[in-house]
Amino acid sequence: MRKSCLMFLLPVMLLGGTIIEGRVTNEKREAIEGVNVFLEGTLDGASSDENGNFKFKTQETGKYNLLIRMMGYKESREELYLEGKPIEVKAILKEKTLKSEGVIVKASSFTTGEENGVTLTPLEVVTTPGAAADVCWAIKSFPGVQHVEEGAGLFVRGGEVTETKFLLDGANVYHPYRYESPTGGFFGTFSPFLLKGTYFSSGGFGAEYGNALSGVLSMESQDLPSERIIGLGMGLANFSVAGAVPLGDKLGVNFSGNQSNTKPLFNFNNVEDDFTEYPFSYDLNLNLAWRYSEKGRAKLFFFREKDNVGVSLQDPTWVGNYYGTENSNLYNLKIDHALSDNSFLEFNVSRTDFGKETEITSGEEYVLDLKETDEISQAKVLLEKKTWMFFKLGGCLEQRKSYFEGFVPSEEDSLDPSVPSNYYDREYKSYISSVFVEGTSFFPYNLSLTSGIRFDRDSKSEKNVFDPRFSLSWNAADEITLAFATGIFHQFYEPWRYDPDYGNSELDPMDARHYIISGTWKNDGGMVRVEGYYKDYEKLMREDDSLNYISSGFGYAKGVDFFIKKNFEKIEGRIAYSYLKSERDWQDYSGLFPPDFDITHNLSAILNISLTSSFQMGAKYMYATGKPFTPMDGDFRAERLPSYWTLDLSASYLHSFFTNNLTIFYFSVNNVTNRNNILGYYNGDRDEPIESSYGRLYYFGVSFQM
Amino acid sequence: MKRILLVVLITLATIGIHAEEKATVDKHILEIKTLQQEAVDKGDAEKLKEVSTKLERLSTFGDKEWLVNYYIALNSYRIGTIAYDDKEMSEKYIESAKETIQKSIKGKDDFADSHALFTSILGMEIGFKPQLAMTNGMQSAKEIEKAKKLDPANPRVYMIDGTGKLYTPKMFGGGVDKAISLFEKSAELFKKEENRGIYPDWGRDEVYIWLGNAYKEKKEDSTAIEFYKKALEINPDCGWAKEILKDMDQNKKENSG
Repeated sequence: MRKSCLMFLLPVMLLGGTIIEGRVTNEKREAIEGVNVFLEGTLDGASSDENGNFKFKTQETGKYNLLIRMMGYKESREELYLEGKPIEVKAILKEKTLKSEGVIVKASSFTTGEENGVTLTPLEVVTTPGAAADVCWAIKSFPGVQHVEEGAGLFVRGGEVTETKFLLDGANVYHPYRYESPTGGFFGTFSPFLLKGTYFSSGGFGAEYGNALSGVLSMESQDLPSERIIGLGMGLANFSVAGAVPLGDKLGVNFSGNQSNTKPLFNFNNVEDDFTEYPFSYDLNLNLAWRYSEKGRAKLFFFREKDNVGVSLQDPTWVGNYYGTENSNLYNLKIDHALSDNSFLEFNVSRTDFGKETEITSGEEYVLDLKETDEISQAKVLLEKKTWMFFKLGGCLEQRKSYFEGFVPSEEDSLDPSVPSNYYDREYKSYISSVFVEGTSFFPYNLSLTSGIRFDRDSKSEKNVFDPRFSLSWNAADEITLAFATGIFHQFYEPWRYDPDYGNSELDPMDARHYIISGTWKNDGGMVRVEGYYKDYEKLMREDDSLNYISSGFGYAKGVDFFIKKNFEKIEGRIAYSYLKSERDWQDYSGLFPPDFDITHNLSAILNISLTSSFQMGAKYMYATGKPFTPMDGDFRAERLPSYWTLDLSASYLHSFFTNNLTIFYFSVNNVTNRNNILGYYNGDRDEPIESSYGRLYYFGVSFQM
Repeated sequence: MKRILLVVLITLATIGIHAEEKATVDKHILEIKTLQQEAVDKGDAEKLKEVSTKLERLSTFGDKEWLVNYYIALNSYRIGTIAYDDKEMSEKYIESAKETIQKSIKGKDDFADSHALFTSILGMEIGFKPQLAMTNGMQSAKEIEKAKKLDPANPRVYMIDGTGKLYTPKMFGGGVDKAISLFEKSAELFKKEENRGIYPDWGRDEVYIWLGNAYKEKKEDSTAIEFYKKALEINPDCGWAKEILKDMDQNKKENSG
C-alpha cells in the first residue's frame, strides 16, 4: 500500500512541469504571429511570436488537448501526454473559407487560384492526373465542358469550341491553343505557372464579357513576388526555367522559359506515330509588376510562343504531308488604381501578333500553302464602385487585322490533290467597340440581383447588338446558395467570314439565350453543385441551296451538370458529370441533328491521395459518349462512335535537399489500360477506324525550386 | 473497507475539483471584466488582444461558455472600434465578434445583453459592407426588440438602440431627438443598476458620452461638454471622454485664435 502511494506521488514530485514549444505556420509554411496555443480547459499557454514560435511550461500532467487557435484559421488540436519530458509541436493552420454571406454567388462559375473560396488551387491544377499541367486540360475536368477531341479545346455546354472566350489580364486572346486545329488545339497557350488564378464560366456570365456565346476563361497573371524563387524543370518532353525576383518592395519580376519537344516522349513509349516533325514548342514570358503607390499597381506582361508540327496524312484515297508552324506575341500593360476606399479603376492596353503557316503537300505538289497573320490591338477601361450597390462600368475598343496569303483547295473540306486550288490574298480589318454597365443590389433574406447590359458594334458587318443579362442569387442557408441566371449573348464571326466572295457580308452575329438554375452547397470540407440549363441558339451560319452562307441556322442545348468535391485529411476527390442534349440545323445539315459536340454523358472522376506528407498519388477516370457520325450506308449523323474513356495515374514525391529547396519527382501513366479509343471512321466506314495514337504513355520528370 | 473509503475519497475529490473549477471560471470572469474595462479606458487594442487570448482559454473550461463568448464578442467589438482606421483589421475583428456573439446566443438565447451587442455589431458591419444595409438593418431591429422584451430594465439595451438611431436618418425612423430620449432613459436605468458581478454592467460612463455626441450633433456644444464631463465624473479614467474634451478644446482655441 505504501509503495503504491509513493508511486502515485512519484510523477508529481519529480516533475518541475512540462515544457511545450513549437512553431505555427500556414499552409504555405509562412509563420503566423499571435496564435493562441493552450491546453484545453486551462489557462496554460502562449501566443506565437513574429516567427511563429511559442513556448510555455505547464504543471498539468496526463492527457491533454493542445488547442491552436487563430482568427481566420481553422482550429487545430493535438493530443499530448504530459509527463515532464519537453514536447515539440509543429502545427500548420488551414485558412477558413469565408462565409458566402453578402458575397454574390454566380451560377456556372468556377475559379482557380490561391484566394479564399476558389474551386481549385494552382497545386490542384498541376496535380490533376492526366492533365499534363495544362490549364485547359484541368478545366476540362469541370462539369459543363464536353470531351469532344483529344486535346485542350473547351467545348462548353453544347457549344462549339470558338464559343469560349479567353482573356489574360483583361486582354482578349484569340489564339489560346497551341497546335491549333478546328477543335481548338492540343495544349493551352499559357502555362499554369504564369497564372495567379483563373475564372471560368460555363454560362450566364455577366455583361462584362462580350462576343462569346457559351463560355469565358479569364486568366490573371502573377503579381508582385514576395520572395525570390528560381525553379528548373526537366521531363521526358520538356525543359523549363522559371523565377520570381523582387527588386525592392515596390518592383518585381516573374519570368519563365519552356521548351517542349515530344520526340523523346514518343520514342520512349514506342508509339507508332505519323510525325514527320515531332511537335515542338517553346515559350518565353516576362512579367514586370510595379506598385507605384499605395493606391495602385502596374503590370507589364510579355509573352512569346512558337510551335511546329509535321504529320504524314493517310487518307484512303491519297497520301501527303502536313506541316504547320505558329508563333504568337502578346504585350499587355495593365493598371489597377484605387480612386477611393470603394472605387477602383482598371485600365489595360494590349497587342497580340499571331502568325501561322500551313502546308499540305502530296509528293512534290502543294495541296495547301497558306500564311495567315492576325494582329489585335485593344484598349479597355473598367470602373468599379462598391457601396450599398456594386456598380461596374466599362468600355473596350479593339482593332483586328487579319491577313491571308496562299493557295487553298477550291472545294472546302477537300484536301484531295486532284482538286484545283485557288490563290488567296486578302486583308481584313475590323473594329469592335463595346460598353457595358452592371449593377448588383442586395436585398434582405440574403437575396442579390445583378443586372447588366452591354452594347457591341462590329465595323465589318456594321451590326449593333444589345445584350441584357440578369442573375439572381439567394443565400438560402449558411452553406447553401440557389441561383438563377439568364441573358442574351452574341458573337461576331471572324472578319474573313464577311468577305463578299468567300463568305457573306450580310451575316448577322450569332445569338444565344441562356437559362440556368443552380444550387450550391459549400463548406470547409467540400462542395456540391447541381445545375440545369437550357440554351437557345439562333442566327447560326448555314449553307443555302447555292452553297452560300446565310444566318438562318439554329439549335438548342439542354443539360444537367453535377460537381462534387470533398477534401478529407489525406484524400481529395472530385467528380464532374454532365448530361447534354444538343441539336442544330446549321452548316450543311437539312434539319435538326446532333453536332459533333453533342456528347450525351461526360464524366471525370479524380482522386488524389497523400500517402505521406511528401508522397502523393492520383488517379483520373474520364468517360465520354462517342461523337455522332454518319455511317456509310446509313442516315445522316444517325450513329455514334464507341465511347471514349481513359484511366490516368500519377505519382509525385517531394524532397528537400537543403533549406528552402523543394524538389518534386513525378511520374505518370496515361491511358493505363491501353484503351484503343476510336476518333472517327474514314467516310463513315466502320472497317476504316481512325484510332487514337495515345495508347499507354509513360512520363516522368523532376522540378527543382530554390 | 479501506477500498471503499478510497473510492469515496476519490469521488469527493473529483466533486471538489469540479466545484473549484466553477468558482475559478467566475473568478476569472471577474478579473477579466476589470482588465477589459481598463484596456477600454486606455483605448489599448494590444491589451484587449491579451484579454481575448485569456478569454478564449477560459471558453474551454466547460462552464458558462455562452457568457465567456459574450465577453469575447464584446472584446473583439471593442478592438474593431478602436482600430477603425485600419479597415482590414477592424473588419476582421467585427466579423469575429459577429461569429462569437451568434455562438453565445446559440448557447443562451434569453440574455438581453447578447442581443443588444449583436445589434451594435450588425451596425458596424454595414460600415464595411454597405451592401448589407438592408439585411442587417432588418435583423438588428429584430434583435433590439427582443432585447427590450427580455430585460426592459437593461440600460445598455436602450443605449445601443440610441446609438443606432443617432446614425439613422429621420426618414428611416432614426434621428437625434429619438436617440437623446433613448440615452436619457438608459442613463436613468443605469442609476438603478447595481453591480452585476460576473454579468456585464459596462456603459455607466459611456451613456453620457453618447448624450454628449448627440448634443454635439445638434450643435449644442456647451451641453455636450457638460455630458462629457459627467462621464469623466463617473469614471475619471475614461479615455474616450478625455480625448473628446481635449479635441474640442483645441478646436475652440484654433477657431478663436
